[in-house]
Amino acid sequence: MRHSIVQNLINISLFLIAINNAAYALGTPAGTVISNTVTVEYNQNGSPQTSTDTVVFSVQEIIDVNLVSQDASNVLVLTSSLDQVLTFLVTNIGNGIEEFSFAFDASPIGTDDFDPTNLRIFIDSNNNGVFDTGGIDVEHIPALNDVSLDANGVDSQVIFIVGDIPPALIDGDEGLIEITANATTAGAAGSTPGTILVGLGDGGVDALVGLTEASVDTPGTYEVASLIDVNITKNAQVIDDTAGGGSCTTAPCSPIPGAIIQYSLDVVASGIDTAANVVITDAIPTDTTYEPSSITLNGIPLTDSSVDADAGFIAANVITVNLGDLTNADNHTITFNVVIN
Amino acid sequence: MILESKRLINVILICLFSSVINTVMADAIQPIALTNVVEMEVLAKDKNGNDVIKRVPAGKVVPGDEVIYTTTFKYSGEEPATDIVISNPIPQFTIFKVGSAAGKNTVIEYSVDNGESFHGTANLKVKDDQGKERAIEAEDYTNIRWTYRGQLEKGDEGTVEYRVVLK
Repeated sequence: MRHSIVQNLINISLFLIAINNAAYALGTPAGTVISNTVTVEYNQNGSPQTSTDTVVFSVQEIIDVNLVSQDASNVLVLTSSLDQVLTFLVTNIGNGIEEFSFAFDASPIGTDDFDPTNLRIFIDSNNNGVFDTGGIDVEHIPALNDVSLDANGVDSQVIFIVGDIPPALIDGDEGLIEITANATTAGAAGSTPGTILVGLGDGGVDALVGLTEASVDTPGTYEVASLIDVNITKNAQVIDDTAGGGSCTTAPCSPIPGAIIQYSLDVVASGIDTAANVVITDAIPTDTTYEPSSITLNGIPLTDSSVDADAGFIAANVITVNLGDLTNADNHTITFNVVIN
Repeated sequence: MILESKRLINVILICLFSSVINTVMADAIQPIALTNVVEMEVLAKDKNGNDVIKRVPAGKVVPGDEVIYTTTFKYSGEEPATDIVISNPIPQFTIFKVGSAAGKNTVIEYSVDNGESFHGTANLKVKDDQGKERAIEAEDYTNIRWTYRGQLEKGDEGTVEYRVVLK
C-alpha cells in the first residue's frame, strides 16, 4: 500500500517535469523553487533507520533582451518621401516576464549622409510583420504602451521605425539611425551585468541584470535610390568555328562563315518599386541564322515555341523572353546562339 | 461566531504544537544528523588582496549558474551504525556536473533511471529513441548514491557533495 502511494507520487512528479521542460526549454523560469532532499539509510542495532534533510532555493530573474533588424539590407527610399519604414524584432531572452520600452537616435555615431526626420516608433499591433497606417499599428509612447513579453525567447514583437527622407538627396546617400530596447524594471537598463535589483524579479524574487545590460542598441539604414531601373548588358563571343573549317571549340574562336556566336544578355534591376511584366526582345542580326533550341534563361534551356509554358520563344527572327516582375537586385541572364552566314 | 473563531484558533495552535513535538521527537531518535546545504562559488579577495574562490549560500541563482550541494552527516548513537547509504536525486531543472560528486571513504554510484538501479560511471547505460544504446550525457544522470565504507562510531562525521548547473 505504502509502496503504491510512493509510486504514484513519483509518477506525478515525472509528469510535471516533462511538462515544465517542454514549456521552458531555454531557462528555468524566475521564481521556480528548486528543492533537494538528501536521504541516509543505515542500520543501528540491526534495525534500519532513515534520516532526511531538504534544502531549497528560488531561481532569480535574469533580465536580458535581444533586438535585431528584420531588413535584409539597407532600406531603399526616394528622396523627399514620407513614412519610410525600418523593421526590427525584440525578444525577451531573460527567464522572467518583462516589459520593454523603445527609443531612437536619428543621428547616432557612424558615417552617413543624412538624418531622417519626423522619426517615430510603431508597434506591429496586428502582428502581420508589415507597417499598417491609419491607426492599425499603434505609435509607441514609452511608459504608456510598453511591450510585455514572456520569458525565454518564446515571445517576440515586431517594432517599426517610421521616418521621412529629406529632399535633394542623391542615389546612394545613406541615413543611419539607431533604435534601443530597454527593460523597464527600475534600475535594469544599462546597468553592469550582475547588478542585483532586490525584489524586482517575477513573484518578488531578486532580478539580476544579464550580459545584454537589459538594453540593446540596433542600427538601421535608409539608402536613397531612384525608381526601378532595368539595365541590360549584351555580350557576344564566337564559341565554335569547326563548321566553318576551323578547329576551335572554346571561345574566343574565329568569326568565319559557319562559326557559332553566342549572345548573352545580363538583365539587372535596381531601385525602388517593381518593374512589372518585363519582356526582353532581341532581333537576330543580319547575315546570321538562329541556331534552333539555343535560348537559355539563367542556364536553363527554353524552347523556341511560343505556345508552351516557358518564358521564351523566337518568332519572325526576334528572340522574346518574358521575365515577369522585377524588383531591386533581381538579375537574369539570357543566351542564344546564331551561325554566321 | 467569536466563540467559533476562538475554537478554530485553539485547534490551529494544537496542530502547530503537535507538529513541533513530532519534529523534535523525530530528530531525537535519529542518531545520524543530516545537514543539506546549497551554495555557489563567488570570486572574492582575501586579506592580501588576492582573488580567492569563496562559497556563499545559493541566494542569487539564475539559469546557467552552478551550485554545490553539500551534505554533512554526524553520528551520535551509542552503538555503531552500519550499511550507511546516502542518496540524493538530482533536483528538477538542474543538470549534474559530471565528475563533481565527492565523498571521503565512500563508493559513489549513479542512476540514470530515477534511482531504480545504480552503477559506476563506466557501467551506466542509456538508449536512444530507437532503443539503441548511446553515449551517456550529463542530462541523463538522475540520482547519486554514496555507500560508506565501514561503520560510523559515536562522534564520527563526514561530508559528501556534488554540483549541478541550473537549466
